[in-house]
Amino acid sequence: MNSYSDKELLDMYRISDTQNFAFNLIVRKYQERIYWHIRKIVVNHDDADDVVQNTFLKVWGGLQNFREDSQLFTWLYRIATNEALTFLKKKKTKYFLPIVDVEQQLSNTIESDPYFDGNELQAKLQKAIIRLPEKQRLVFNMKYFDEMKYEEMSEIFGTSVGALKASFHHAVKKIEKYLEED
Amino acid sequence: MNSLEQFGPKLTQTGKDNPYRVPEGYFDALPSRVQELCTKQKIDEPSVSWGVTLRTQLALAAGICLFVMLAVTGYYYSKQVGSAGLFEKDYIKLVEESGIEFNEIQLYEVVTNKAKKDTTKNRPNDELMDYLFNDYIENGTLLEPTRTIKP
Repeated sequence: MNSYSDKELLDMYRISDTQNFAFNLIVRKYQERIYWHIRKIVVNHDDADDVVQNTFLKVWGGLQNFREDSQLFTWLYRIATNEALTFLKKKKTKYFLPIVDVEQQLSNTIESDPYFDGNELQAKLQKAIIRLPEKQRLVFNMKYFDEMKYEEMSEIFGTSVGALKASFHHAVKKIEKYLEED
Repeated sequence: MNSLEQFGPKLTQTGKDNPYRVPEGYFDALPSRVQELCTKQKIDEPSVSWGVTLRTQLALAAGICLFVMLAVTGYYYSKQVGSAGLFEKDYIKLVEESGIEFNEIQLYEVVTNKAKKDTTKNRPNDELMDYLFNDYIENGTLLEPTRTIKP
């Protein structure tokens, strides 16, 4: 469907006649990866939809100045991560919720979400992930589910590979401990 | 897919399948919805950005004008003050005219402390002494304090 490389898409985007077309192709190419990345952070589909739209709006505004110092998809991931975390922070501020209550709210969302198809064990895994500290949660999702390379994650977060490996290791230990409870 | 062997039994049992799903046709409709939003933003953008840009540039221009005006005014003011100031000849004339009321202590300070002799900085002490003799100022009034008064 979309066989253009990032370079070709960016070149097309810089020409005003093909700008809209190129942007549409960029959205089509990355929408699923970006959506699932955001969805795992904010959990709820409607919230994820809002954040995805905001993310692509930001991309639209910033793509003209994108200098290709990094890969397009790492840049998109960075924007998506920032947008998702900002969304959660706003939610917390809006309802004056402490962190624990936000986690509780996200856990409840899993149980009541009509767009959650997982079994009991998968639901428990998602709840365990929600209980993790922010950074560990992001690293675990990107490594475990998206199977992203540490080098790519390092480019997204601006953190060393060693630190990311340590975060993932701690996250796995905590999740395994949580899953073995009961 | 990565091997699950590195994980514990429970995590391995859970697997890596995505338990979430989206409404049907969600990803088919998303690009056009995003495109619509971006086009709308593009239409709204110019009026806002023009207004902000214009205001910023006007403020900057006003700031520069004010700075230039202050600089020019300051320059002419300092020039006028400078022209109204005293020259070396004026200092000499002042000393000549008020020679009778010349303050001895002040003169002592001038002779002993070279940093303070503004009007006579190019004149050696001998020349100053000659000047005082020629104007009938008693030598003792000058020399005595230099021996007795200690700063």
